[in-house]
Amino acid sequence: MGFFQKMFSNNPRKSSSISKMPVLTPQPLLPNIQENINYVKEALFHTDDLIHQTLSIPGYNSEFLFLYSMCDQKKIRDEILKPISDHRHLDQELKEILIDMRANKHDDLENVIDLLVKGNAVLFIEGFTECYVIEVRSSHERNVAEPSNEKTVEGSHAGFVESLTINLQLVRKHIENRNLVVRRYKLGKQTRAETVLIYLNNLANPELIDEINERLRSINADNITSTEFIEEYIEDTSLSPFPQLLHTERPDRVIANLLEGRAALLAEGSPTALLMPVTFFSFYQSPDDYYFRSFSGSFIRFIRIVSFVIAICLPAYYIAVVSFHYEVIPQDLLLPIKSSIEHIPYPPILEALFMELTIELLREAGIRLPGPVGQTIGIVGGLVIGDAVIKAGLVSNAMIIVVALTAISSFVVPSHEMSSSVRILRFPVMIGASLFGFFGIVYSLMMILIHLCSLHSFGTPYFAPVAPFRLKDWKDMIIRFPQWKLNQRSNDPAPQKLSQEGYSGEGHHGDDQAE
Amino acid sequence: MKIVKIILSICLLLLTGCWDQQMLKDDRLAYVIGYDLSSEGMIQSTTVLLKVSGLPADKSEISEVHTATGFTSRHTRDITDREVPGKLSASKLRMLLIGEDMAKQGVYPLLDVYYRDPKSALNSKVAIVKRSAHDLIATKTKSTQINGEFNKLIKSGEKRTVVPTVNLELICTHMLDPGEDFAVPYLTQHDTNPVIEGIAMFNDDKMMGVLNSEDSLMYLLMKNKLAKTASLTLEVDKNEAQKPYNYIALDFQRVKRKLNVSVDGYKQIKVLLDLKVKVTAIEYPKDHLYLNRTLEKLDQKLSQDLTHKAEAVVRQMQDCNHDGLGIGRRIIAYYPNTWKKLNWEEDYRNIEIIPKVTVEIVNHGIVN
Repeated sequence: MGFFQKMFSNNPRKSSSISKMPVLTPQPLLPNIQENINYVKEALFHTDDLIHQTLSIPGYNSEFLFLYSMCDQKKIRDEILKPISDHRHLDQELKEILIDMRANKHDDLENVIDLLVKGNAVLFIEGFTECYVIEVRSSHERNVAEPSNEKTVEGSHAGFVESLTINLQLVRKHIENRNLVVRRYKLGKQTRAETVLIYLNNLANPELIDEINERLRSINADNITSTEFIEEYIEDTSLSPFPQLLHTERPDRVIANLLEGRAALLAEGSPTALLMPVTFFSFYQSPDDYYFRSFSGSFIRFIRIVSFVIAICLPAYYIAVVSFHYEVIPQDLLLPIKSSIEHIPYPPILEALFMELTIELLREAGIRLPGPVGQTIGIVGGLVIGDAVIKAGLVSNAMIIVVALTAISSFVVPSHEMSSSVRILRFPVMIGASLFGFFGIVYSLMMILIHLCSLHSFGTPYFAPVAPFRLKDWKDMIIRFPQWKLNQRSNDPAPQKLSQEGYSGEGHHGDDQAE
Repeated sequence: MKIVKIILSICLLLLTGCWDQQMLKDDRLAYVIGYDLSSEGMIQSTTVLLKVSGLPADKSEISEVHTATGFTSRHTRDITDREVPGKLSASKLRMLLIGEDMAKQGVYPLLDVYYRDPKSALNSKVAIVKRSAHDLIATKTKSTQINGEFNKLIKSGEKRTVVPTVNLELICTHMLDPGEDFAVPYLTQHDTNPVIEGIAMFNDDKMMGVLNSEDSLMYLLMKNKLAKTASLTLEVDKNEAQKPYNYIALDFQRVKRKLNVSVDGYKQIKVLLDLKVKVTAIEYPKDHLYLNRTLEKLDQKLSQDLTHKAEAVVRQMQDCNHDGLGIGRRIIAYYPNTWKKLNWEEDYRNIEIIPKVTVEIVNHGIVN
């Protein structure tokens, strides 16, 4: 018993050390340059990428420090050395030089060290009580290209990058609204990752924002490097198979969700935004649904919801049918199925597990291998194994079809996390089916449904608008009504204002489209 | 503790499974079963198993047939199961053939096992075979493998309104209903092939007589059971030199039936059966159908002929004590007091059934 408790308890022995967080006292500047430099060097443990150089400003004894791994040499030349050399022969004031350098005054050495680590250069001048910090950070940003895991046919092809500033800009550019609020957090005791929460102040529910704020503040961890780390700290139920925060790398998706009254979390160094609160059905919505016309958008979305059912139930259904209820097979289908499984040595559940495992292996191998090799693996796996396995009599034809269809449907989901949840969820259903037939399927689906209904995401029901039921939100659930019909926002994030659209378009859409 | 409880309950759940498994790959499926009365009064069953070409090495083209003799149909199945490698299952049964001798003794004892077993295929077709079901199956299997042949034959008969659409489930209600009787297809053998000869009429669970396939069409029309198509060739003339000129072929389009049961006093039951049929002349070499005079004459002639036919069919039904029209059921419903006084087994023969058929040719094809 003690073993289990130890395994699953959340580290109770160390929970008392929360208050021992070191608080650095401000350290005023020392009078001597050398002392200052030594202090900084001590603080950074004589790290070898710390460079100090002497500057020859006429009349002043000065040195500057920077971490060369973080700084752009060209910027150092332009921002620090050039202003000095420009003013060398003139009897200029030091002030002018500093203005040219765009330097900031600082007098707390601890603060200066933090800035140094971030890629600033620090200038010490003999006899001054302040030092000057000049921003010379080097940055290597990739283009705001479309994220490869969330491609769409139409619409914006921009994607988030690893820089928070650029990401925020991408969002702000589309919502030119003074209500867009950015709240900044520093998360992780070691990493001090810069994280921002963005929301629309006039839409997002204040209680939701308070809740997110509280959860973010309560994170007491050393290492937070990207938004995905934050997810596990702030989600409601970590032991649920369903993701409760929506990951996206698409600015348009973030913007659309912000406009529905949700909040987004972005972090420096991570191209992934977390959207909250979300419902189950948000994972089945893609920006494409809105870029297409209502008819085709609805069709695609409907197919996706069907794919969820197929991905979870189809292998289980097949197993149940061939091992418990073969009465339900139509007469003309009986002979082909019977002859394909007649000489298979294993029970259907093992067959299915074997094939599912093969598909998962192929998928994983395809991701890890470089592009062209990955495709080869796909072909080798799909064609060669698929064909050989039937010829060898290990797996039946019908099972290959079932597993292939299931695999395809699980990849239809626009969200990667949901896709992996679905892939995991079908195993309990399959086992249930192999033990109890249809009864087992119904039983496991019921468990899933109960779980879905009881799940919450930041205080809002996860399975809305099915449970709790709200017919108005069904307009944008399985099918998508035309934009001019979506008069109200969806109610699940509890926005401050429900109405989002007036009677636009009703006039010329005429009476035949009447309610 | 919680974790242990969860693990224990999962284990319990998993350990209870699989007890009622029936693997499709392990079961041997009986596709056609025939029952005959053996010489000693026992039941002889003939079981055809579904032919599954699993391995390429297995090339034989003949279906597997097992014959067993026992006291009841369940007994014969148990005996057959001893012969069959793998578990014998009748849950995908397609065709149940019953020999004529057996059917005359009553079919309920045979079928009882099918009605009790929750896994039995109640949508399986039932047919009576002239002489022996075993012979029909045996000759057929000598030449080819039987999979869906019998079933398809019956189904096409149903579509052409030759035999009633019945299966194991549907005949059960009528078998136990005193007010209505059922009929099933009646097969015979032509060379090695089964042929639909007509229908076998039942009283309760005993076969009483046969209607040939033209009469069975009339019978089904009177029951208001016109299926997709129904065609009938009738003689309308006798004087033409060339034989085909004497005949007309009709395709029934619509049937309107009025069945009026009236009771006058004590046991005076009169049934008026009014049939209005709309037909297409699909074959009439003599032609001139565009003339109203010809049409009227033909309509009259056909009405007369068909009324005679219907009367003949009704007579046969009454002779066989076969209440296929469900007149008894109507009396039970509308005249319960009369029904209590009736002895339907006896009195059905004596009631008056007056059929009247009115034919209207509404279409005569695309030629003018």
